[in-house]
Amino acid sequence: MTARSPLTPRRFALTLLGLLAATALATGLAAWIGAAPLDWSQVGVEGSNAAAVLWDQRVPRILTALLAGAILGMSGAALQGLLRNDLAEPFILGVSGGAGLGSALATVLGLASLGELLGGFGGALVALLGVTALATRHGRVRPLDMLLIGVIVNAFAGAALLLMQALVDAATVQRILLRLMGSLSADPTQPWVPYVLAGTAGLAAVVLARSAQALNVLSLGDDTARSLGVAPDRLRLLLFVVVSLPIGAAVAATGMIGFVGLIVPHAVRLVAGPDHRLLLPASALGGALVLVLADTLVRGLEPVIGTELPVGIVTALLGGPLFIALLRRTSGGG
Amino acid sequence: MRFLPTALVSLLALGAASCDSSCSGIKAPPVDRASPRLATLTPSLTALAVHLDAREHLVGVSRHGPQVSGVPVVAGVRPNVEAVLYVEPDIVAIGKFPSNSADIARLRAIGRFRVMELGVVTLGDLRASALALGSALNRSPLALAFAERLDASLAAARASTISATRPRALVVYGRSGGIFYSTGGGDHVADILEALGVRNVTAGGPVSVRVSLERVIHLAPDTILHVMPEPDIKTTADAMTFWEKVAPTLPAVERGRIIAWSDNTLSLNGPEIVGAIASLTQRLEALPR
Repeated sequence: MTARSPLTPRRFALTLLGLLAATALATGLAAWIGAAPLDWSQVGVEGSNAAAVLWDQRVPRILTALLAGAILGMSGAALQGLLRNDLAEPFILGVSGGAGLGSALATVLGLASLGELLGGFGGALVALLGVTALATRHGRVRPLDMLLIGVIVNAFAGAALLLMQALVDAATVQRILLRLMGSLSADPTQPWVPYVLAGTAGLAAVVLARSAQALNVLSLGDDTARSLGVAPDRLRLLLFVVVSLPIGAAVAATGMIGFVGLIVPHAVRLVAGPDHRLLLPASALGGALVLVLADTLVRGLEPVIGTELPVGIVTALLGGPLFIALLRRTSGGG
Repeated sequence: MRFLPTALVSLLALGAASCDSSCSGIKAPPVDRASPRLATLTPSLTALAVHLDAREHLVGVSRHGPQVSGVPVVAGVRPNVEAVLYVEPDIVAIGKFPSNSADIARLRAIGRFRVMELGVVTLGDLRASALALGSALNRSPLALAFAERLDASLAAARASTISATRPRALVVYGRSGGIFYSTGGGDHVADILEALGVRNVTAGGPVSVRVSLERVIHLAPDTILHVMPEPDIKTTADAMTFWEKVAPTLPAVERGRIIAWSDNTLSLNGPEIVGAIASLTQRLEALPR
């Protein structure tokens, strides 16, 4: 099933166009379905409820889902290539723990939404860059060390979060827990968040696109990569720093949304093959598609079950079995 | 190596000994003291005990809730069983929640004190718990007086003119980004709204409801109650500023019908709820129609 044939312009265009069309359809569906029925004749009328719902709530939220999904998918593919490990994804490298801890620290300090957002962003960055620094010896990033240190950082952050919750008052505990659940619902007091996501994702996309061929070479092993003129350690350091920015922004804004960064690159690799020139943009589109659909499901269910499920629950519930199915399929194909 | 069998036998013996005291259905000793020692593991129950003038009975309290000078903390989110045992209570009062059942069973299995599993979710729970605690602490007249004040405040709420307009209220317990946390019913705030004749726009969901701002706009509440202070919403003026910014078309915003609570007297189902009901009644009556 894995597309092993060399990447042709036709396959490149067809894959991306197919994913683009699917994402566009999902975006339309997401605009159509929501927590409230929409009077479409009123969406152009300024001051109407329909306009407020569509333009102030639904569109920023869909935009956030598209951008966060693209960031997670693209970063997952890049990290799996950089570390040459199928389990690599943004959250396994300590970023979730760092973001949660940074955000909780801001809550404990009594800071409002902006402080919590910045705390989450700072925590994610510190964790990712810290893991990279700790896994670097004599200028060389050790991929396995990075994964292990990432796991340790997440565990440490988890323990620090529990300690924090054990020491603060009940209202602060509640606020920390609510924040950790996360949501794609745009913070109405911070309308600039999607722009930050777009800016950091755009920067990472440009750098990753320019590094795609080097990532292909890196997949042959560090020694071969060096003999072909690619400096693996410099490439890893550069790309870790570059993907840290959008990952930190996405986690701070939306909370924990697991499995997208892990599964999407695997699923896309089955269709698009391992060439990073296609895998990276296809994973970005795939991530956007998956997260928009998951969030549409969440929003569509809200009026039915009377509460909004955290989207991370949906991605984990659907992603877990899907990942096992993918694993069995690729193992079976051997 | 010869040490190993001895150690195993000792461990088995210890296991059997611990099972003697915890697994064989031992009943708690009867509380026959005139002044029983009480450990309260839930904030509402600590507040009730203090309200019933039973401060001198308290030998252990929950960390979340009123602190009593010189009384050690024996519970956080969960009870610290060792700390509870150390203070040698005659009675351990703990809130009845589904998440507490394992802890309650563990405390009961110890068999060295009476475990009172008391409801604290609804106003009915609070009333019954006050009477039960009052009876156990020989404070029945005070407990009865509290129950009567609670009944009277609810009667006053029912007699108010608020229900004439059947307001549609959104209760906000907290906010995270664009998600608001509310009540789907079945808690003390929902009971108060019912007594006031106020319709809860998120009724029918789970007790704790996550509501998106999109759904809030769709539900179009004409009254908004922030029942807990938040870092950016501590006063009614803060709440008004917030809602004017994020959803200016809501009926509650257009009509200026927003109330924020700057303390936890309304969010904590404890003895201060009587005053909170009266205060909420007054504040709702004072809102523009």
